[in-house]
Amino acid sequence: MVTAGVRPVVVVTGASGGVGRGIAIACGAAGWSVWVAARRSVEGRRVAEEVTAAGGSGNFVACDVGDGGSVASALALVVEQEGQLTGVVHNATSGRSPHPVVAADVPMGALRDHVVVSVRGAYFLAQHAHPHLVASRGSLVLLTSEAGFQGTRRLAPYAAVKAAVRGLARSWAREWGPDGVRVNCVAPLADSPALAEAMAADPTMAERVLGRHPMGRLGDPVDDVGPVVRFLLSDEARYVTGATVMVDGGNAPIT
Amino acid sequence: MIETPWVVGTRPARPLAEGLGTGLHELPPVVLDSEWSRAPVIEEWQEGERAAPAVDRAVVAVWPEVREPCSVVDLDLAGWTARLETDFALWFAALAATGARCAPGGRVVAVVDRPEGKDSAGWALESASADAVEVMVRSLAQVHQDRGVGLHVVTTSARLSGAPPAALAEVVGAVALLLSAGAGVATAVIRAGSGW
Repeated sequence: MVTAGVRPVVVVTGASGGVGRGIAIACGAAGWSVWVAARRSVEGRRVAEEVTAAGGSGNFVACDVGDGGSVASALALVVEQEGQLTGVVHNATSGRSPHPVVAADVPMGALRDHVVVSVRGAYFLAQHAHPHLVASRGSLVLLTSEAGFQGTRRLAPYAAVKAAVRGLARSWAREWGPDGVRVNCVAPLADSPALAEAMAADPTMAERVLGRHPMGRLGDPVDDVGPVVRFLLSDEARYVTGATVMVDGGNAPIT
Repeated sequence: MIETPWVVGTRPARPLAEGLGTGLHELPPVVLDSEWSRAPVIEEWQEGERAAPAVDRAVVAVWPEVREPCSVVDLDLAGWTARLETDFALWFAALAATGARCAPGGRVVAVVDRPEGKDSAGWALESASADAVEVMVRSLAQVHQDRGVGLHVVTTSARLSGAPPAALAEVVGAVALLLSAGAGVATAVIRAGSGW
């Protein structure tokens, strides 16, 4: 497991912006080594610099989570450079996630895109990270959403893939527990470019999301969401596995 | 007394249809590859559903042949797409099409395999499918609630755990219960046939 005195080495997918960026910077603030795994190199390198500025060691690695070869290469590079891998966070989602759709009209190509990034991406990461996480007794965190519990009228493919990753995490926690590897989910509600785009596309969404929100605000990716993910990656969460932690300011009525 | 439901699903769901006193309307027997190159077959089926007459009561059951538990670490991409992504695509298409086809005031029940939580090691893909189906149904219930259409889910571990045939009768009973649920029940999830 990740122990005091050993600097954790984590990979965060989809970390070139939004929630992934927040997770990366929060881990950096604890002095960790953070690999920003993303397709967009300019934005990804910029976040890596922010990680370093926050007190960690930030690096960028090109990674397309829907491509098994890309995932394998990215993780191999991290292990080659660092000598270990203690945590993986799968945050990347399809660029289509914020786009409202009518479920009956979703083309198979669009559905595939959601599945490939969120679900197949989780599979590739789990498969290629598993031996390294066993060696470090590390941790895998998958990002889900309150939509992945409750469904959503106009983002049905997004909600479905976010539900699917919860199912994967629950089973993997049981499979990998004997190896000392923990698997958890985090369901954030955060101020991100993706949520802003979804709200712009659906004018009723802001009222639905914030109208009855107990805290009346969206979470901050760096200060509100990142530390929770960091906790789950750390030794302090050594007895937490198979869980989904809601980081939504109490918005979803799920306990 | 409920009317005979329209049952749509994959071939292994035939006993469920028979238990409900009707026949099975088969989904196309598709196995997707990594590119989903056969997805147009599913889209053709969806197109046909758009032109089909409305149904009052419907059951959706994308039941694969029962598989052995497996570790994702040992599963190649072809196995992954066949086992998870094919089911996911068929479930999404079938539920969306059937929800749209359901008449105002009608009912749709999805029946999905769900491993018992404590026995779910090796059944990650089935766990993922079950969670996805439940949320697909919740999304569609929100879409169709204005028309008074109820969409529900029955989950069962019976097939995965090799339960005796009597377990199927419990599943059928749960489906019948939800098909007859009142209009005020927008969406409900029942676990059935899992106590064996």
